[in-house]
Amino acid sequence: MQVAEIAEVAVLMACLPLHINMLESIVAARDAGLPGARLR
Amino acid sequence: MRKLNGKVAIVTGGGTGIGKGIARGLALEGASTVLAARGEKRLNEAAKEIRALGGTSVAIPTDVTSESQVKTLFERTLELSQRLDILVNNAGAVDGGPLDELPVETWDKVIAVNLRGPFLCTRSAMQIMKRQGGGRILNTGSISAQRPRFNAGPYATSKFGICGLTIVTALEGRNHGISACCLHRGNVDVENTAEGVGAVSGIPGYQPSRRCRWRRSRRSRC
Repeated sequence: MQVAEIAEVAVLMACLPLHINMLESIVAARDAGLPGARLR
Repeated sequence: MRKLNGKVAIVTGGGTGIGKGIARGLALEGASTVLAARGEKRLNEAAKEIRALGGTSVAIPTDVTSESQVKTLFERTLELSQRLDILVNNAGAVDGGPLDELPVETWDKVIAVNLRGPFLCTRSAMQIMKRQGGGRILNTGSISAQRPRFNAGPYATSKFGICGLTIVTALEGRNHGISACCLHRGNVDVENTAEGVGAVSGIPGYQPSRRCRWRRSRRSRC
């Protein structure tokens, strides 16, 4: 996984409207053996 | 118009790796960035790189485990920018070993950087953001909070703790316009992993993925 991939998601999170709270993003699905990227 | 024009962001661990990448991304969206980390030389270089890209960035050397240094970081940020909109709790430490052999110093070090630091920074940020009427706190979690690995006791525990801190921040911040998010990332191709931190810590799998190493080898050939 590259730094740019993480930074892209972090910037997206920073740009979201403030009423969107407690967003968890997992951008490591491959490393964890999870079936796919998950955003909740 | 860029999405973060006029916003001010503190990024801990901003001198290298993921923190530097996030700071660069925030700056390219228009945010003024304040980089905080212990390594002054790398911190200054990172801020200089961001300024060279046209962004705004200052470096404030800080040990996030020190209550007084964190206090100074936020005071100086307010002096320089008069506000704080985004806090990225990114500074982290990786170390570990088998639980039955783990020195207490190793445990304390990882928990201090990965949990005490984010708590101290979140506390200071929330004081400012409550007065302002809002802000966003972004915590760097880890895939270790989803799939813990052998020999990663202090690291995995700290990242489960970050999940808890994020939830409590979100709950307490909700009525003040403060939101909290957590970004769980996997093994990232940064300076520390390239220098073999995974091997030192004894945490299996704490190495860039094969795809990542392949990309790096391609880069080095170009």
